Amino acid sequence: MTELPSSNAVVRVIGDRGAGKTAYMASLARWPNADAKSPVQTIIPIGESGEELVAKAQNILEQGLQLEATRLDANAIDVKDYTLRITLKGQFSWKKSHFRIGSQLVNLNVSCKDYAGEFFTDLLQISGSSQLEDYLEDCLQATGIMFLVDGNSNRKDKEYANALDKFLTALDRTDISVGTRRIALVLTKCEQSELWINRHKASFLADARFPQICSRLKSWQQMGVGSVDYFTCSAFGMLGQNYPEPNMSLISRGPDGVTAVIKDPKRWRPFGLVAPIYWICTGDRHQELDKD
Amino acid sequence: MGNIRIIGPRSSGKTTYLAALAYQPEISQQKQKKLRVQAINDDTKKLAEKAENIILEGASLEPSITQVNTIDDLAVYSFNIEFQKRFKKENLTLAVRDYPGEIFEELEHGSSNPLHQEFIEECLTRDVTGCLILLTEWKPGTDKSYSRVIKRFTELMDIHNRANDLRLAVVMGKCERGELWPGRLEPEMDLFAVHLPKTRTILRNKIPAKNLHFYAISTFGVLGHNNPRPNRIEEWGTDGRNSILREPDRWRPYGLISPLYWLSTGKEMAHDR
Repeated sequence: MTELPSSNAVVRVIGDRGAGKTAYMASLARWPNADAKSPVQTIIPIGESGEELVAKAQNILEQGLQLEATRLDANAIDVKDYTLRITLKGQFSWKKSHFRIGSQLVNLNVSCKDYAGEFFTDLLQISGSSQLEDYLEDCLQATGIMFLVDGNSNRKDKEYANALDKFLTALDRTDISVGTRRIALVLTKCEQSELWINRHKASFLADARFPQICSRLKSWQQMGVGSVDYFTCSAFGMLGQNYPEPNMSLISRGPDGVTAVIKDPKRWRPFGLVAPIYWICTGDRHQELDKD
Repeated sequence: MGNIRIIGPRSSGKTTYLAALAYQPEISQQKQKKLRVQAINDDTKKLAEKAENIILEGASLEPSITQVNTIDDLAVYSFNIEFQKRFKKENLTLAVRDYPGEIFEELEHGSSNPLHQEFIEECLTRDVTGCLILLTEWKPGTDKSYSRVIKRFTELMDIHNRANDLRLAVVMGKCERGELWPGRLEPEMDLFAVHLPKTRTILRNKIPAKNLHFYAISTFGVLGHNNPRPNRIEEWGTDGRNSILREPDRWRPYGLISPLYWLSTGKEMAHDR
């Protein structure tokens, strides 16, 4: 059997506590109620850590419960590395001038570390911390960074932009070129009505709600060390075809964003999870994934 | 698709308006199938359930600044509106936030309350397509007050860089009142120019023409085509200023959808009862 064309990526997922990083990873690994029309053929979690993610999804999220907050490991090396193989039905890519006919498949092999929120909010405040240095070194291994932000936490725009600034500065200071680095700004929890309405306009939405984060990212991009793109997603997804409603029961809403659990686990279907990964792996936007 | 904010003084009928919209599926008019309004989140469904209390019994559901501590305490109502236009079906999805009346009123003299700042900022973020400003009174002095509020609001729009792209639907509510009903067809000339001239002038001066429209609505409607008496009884509701529906079987709200349609699409709706 011929090898499928594949793209590999090493990704680090960062973001504030409660941004939904672990829920994102678990939902991706579980890939519930897959739509036959989706360009995603399969998602296979590899190894023990991959199975752990699926277990989190089945035993917690699918039971309508909340995930526990991820704890900050003493060393970055201890942070679990989740590996997923995502198989997609191919699409035409102008950049690569391949015309993929019919049912050609493409593999995305992603190895992902999900950093506890404390890294982003606390560690970055402390300069000279060896733990921070350790995490940053680990981050340098990554070809792609997924910066997850709760789409409803727009009041923390300035705070997040400051943390991001420290992160990017530190990254650039220690950098040995790894090739083009990609940073995906991923707005989570976009099942919320105000966000869902603009889910197909991710860069507009990001710029409207998080202007300072976006401005910082644009400056970084202008330095020529990498590229940035914008995404919307929801680990919980929507309910219903004709009049989609958020598939969630709200627990709380505040300046940090929204906390919720899945309302109808049997009809659990996330949206927008794969698009940022595809982009990080290939540098292209996938038309069908973007239609989610 | 649109993110919309509704502002206006207390008791202008903002929440009642939204409740009537959420409740639409229940009334017999819906059976014509020309228009279908669907509540698409929990807050809106709760509002639809309470709609009977609000409209039939005069209960007040208006968010008051005393109960609302932060912007997060405000509900976000979400509707899907489906129109049958000849052979085509058109769909509109809206997310609407209903602001406490105090926010509007305090714009007149300015407020140092940082909470109010937050509200206004939330109102003017770039992903908000438009604001529906609901006004109802024209007692002596009201025009002057409103015009000051509007002036301040347009200044804030400018500060937040929305002066050229935020749509404003300025709506005269409760137009089932006798003196207003005939003017409902030409709201700018027959209602605003007549009763709120200063306010109208400020709006025309400050807002680009394509971003400003005037409307008249009536949540309660009138009793009938040949019987244009308000379908309303003044009752002592929970805060003594509310009305209830006189004849529920003959409930025909007027013009509820047009302002929302225009705010989200920038186009005028062809036909709205």
